[in-house]
Amino acid sequence: MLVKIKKKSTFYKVKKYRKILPFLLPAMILAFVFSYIPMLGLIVAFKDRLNLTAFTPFEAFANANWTLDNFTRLFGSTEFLQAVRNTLVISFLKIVILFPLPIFFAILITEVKNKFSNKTVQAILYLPHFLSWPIVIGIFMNVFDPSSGAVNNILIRMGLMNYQQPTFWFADRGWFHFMMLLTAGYKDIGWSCIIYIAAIMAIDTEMFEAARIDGANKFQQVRYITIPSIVSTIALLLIIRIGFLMDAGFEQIFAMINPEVRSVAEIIGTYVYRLSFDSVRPDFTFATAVGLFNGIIALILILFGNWTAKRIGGKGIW
Amino acid sequence: MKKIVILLLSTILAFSMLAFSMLVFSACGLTGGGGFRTVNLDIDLNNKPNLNIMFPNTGLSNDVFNDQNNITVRTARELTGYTVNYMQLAATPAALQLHFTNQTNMNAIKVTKAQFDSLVADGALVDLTAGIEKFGPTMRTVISDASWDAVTYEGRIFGIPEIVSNDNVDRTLFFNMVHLRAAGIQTLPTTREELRHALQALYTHHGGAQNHSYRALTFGRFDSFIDPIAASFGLGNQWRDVNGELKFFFEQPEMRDYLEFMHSLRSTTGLIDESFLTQSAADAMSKFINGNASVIVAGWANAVSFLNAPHTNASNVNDRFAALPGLRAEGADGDFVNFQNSGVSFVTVVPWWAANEGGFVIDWIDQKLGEDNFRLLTIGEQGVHHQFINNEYWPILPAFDELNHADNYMMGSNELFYSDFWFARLRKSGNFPDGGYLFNFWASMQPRTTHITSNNPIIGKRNPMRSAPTITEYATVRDRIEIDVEDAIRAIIFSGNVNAAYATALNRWRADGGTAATAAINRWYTNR
Repeated sequence: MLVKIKKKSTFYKVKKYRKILPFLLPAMILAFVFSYIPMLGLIVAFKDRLNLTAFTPFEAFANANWTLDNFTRLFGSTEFLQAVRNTLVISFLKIVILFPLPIFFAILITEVKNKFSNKTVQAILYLPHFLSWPIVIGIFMNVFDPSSGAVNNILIRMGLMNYQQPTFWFADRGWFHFMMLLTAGYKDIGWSCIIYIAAIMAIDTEMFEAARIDGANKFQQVRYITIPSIVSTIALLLIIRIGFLMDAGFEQIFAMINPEVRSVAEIIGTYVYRLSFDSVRPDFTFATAVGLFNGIIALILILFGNWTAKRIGGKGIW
Repeated sequence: MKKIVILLLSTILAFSMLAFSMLVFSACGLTGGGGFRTVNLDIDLNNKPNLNIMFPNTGLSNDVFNDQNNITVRTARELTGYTVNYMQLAATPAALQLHFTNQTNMNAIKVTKAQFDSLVADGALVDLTAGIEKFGPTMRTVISDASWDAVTYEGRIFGIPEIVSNDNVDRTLFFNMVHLRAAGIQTLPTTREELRHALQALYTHHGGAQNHSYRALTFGRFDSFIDPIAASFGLGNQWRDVNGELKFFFEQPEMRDYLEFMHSLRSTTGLIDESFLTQSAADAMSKFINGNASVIVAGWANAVSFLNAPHTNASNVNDRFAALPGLRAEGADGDFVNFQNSGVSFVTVVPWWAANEGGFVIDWIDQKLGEDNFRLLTIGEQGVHHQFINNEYWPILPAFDELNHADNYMMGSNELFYSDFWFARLRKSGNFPDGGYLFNFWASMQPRTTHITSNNPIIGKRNPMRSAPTITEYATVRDRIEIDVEDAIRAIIFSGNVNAAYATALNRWRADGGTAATAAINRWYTNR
């Protein structure tokens, strides 16, 4: 006979956890002030140009007419559609190629038993994370400079590149995604390893001992113990990452973009920035419409990601 | 029940957010501007307030301008009785907009002419006409009518104009002459084909295919429109009069020829540094100085940086580098052509929320513009910072260097003397009677119309819009469409496909407001 377990009411839960609930307050206040209040600003997406130079924000808002022109313009704009496509392509590539790499590196690092080597490799891998994007891109632009860069000079001397047509890595649409992945990987793989290393360290060592006694080799231990043990961490990080699918890495792309690669590099973030801040007459209302649309897609994606995670693993973020 | 509670909570949350945002808006100030306020004329000039003044970004640290003991700041304070705090705008293009949105505590801002036009078109500035009439007797006489016309909108004056220091030819191609002579070419090229030949010779001399690090010509990402080359095709300096009508340079038929020529240079290995697409002017400069390039696009003031070049072995610095005065115009065999600066470069304006203190700002600037005060504030004291020999101003070093930032503190200019005073700066690298390295560089680039130079066979092309008033249709789109044009020129030179790419970019320029702006500009031009 099935016994129906009554689901605990929210009131019951609040009562039960009342002593620790106040710890939520700082986060809730922050979220309210910086995430919810700014949402009110989204309303300007339905206004024509705000004259913010001659009027206070409130007056400018009151003076501007209600309109849906920004959305008509949005869906008629090839630049916007191109930015959406690029955002999705870049994010997708980053997830497919860069998401698994830290897991791979974390496994390798934790297998290095010599403490000194282990720590040295970790430190070298983490270090680029602390450089800002303009510096990372600056370094790569110098190293990959078509004429004076080390890479081209080596390739030409090795006979792998025609000196008459040296590759301009940062201005070649064909190479843009490669350079984007290379720089993103260089900067962030090491840092992303940390969580996986922590998860691997938390695995009960007795399982590895037992596996060894049963004759499992290193590869089998990784396959049957390490990976299954950290799969929930991987799933969680993947869902969070999918939530950021519409954020393809503003700072990185902003530092890399130039007119030659704009058609494959312009993402929603840089597009909104260009409309809002890269002009003496910013187009705030259109930029807000773009941002609103971006937010809606991101919301759908995160809901979908969570739903999928629940379906597959039985666990989601909420 | 649960749903009702959630609904209730959401409603409360939404309302509290709305109330909070109303509070924020109120805190920003509900009394707005717009509609062109006028200067408050009912003020007591003896009761001087402290003034906050903002000026364009200089690339220097803010600390430089916080120093109240700086000689220009101190002298201005002693001469006018006003204590002034200076701030520089952030380098972001939208910084000015954000200061207006936040109504930053400032009394006046020095902006570019393009920014001025945009602000006036929005109605964000104070009408200074009556204020200048009452508090600005000196400025009325030392600023020309042409400059006042440039800051007049619908019959009213909205700013105090500052002209370019001198009608200069500013930008050109600079050659490393040691390299050029070593490549077997003794003189600067005079035509585009000679230029191509020189670049080829330089590349070959530097090892050609064997030297992968060398490119003959380098320039930064904002320099793809190279003045002397463009001028030689007949292109205008921004705008050009074609049969009585003004045309934007990008729309002129010669533009296609320019793009084709530049792309042909770009597609011949070694002639142009491909990094022009992404690199900064400073990156290009370091390649030129290090000898990885022999020709660079730069302004005359950059000549100072060439002195740092370590590899050249010519004993006389004047033999090391030379500026191309211009290239011969299409079909002509006499004069060289290049673009020449002129007209109003900056305008000092009073933002709408500072109308009450506008009179003090006018009074302060007016006092600074009298001949003696203007001289003291720009080139310092005679006998200490400068000397006056043969009707010319010559700097006394190192004391003169105290005034290195004087131009940043300048708001408006005494047009009767500005050029004369300015030459003292040019003569810093020389001694009477030879103006020295920098002066010679500058002089070698200038057309014969400039009163101090010799008979250089150069024609400097000026922008016919140099003193144009604000034209709303142009002011409101200018920034956006000109950035797009700059991007397009860079991309087309880099990747070619001139016909299709140029047509696309031109159509876009037209559709985004170029056609409407041109029509409005020509309405003004015909009726001026």
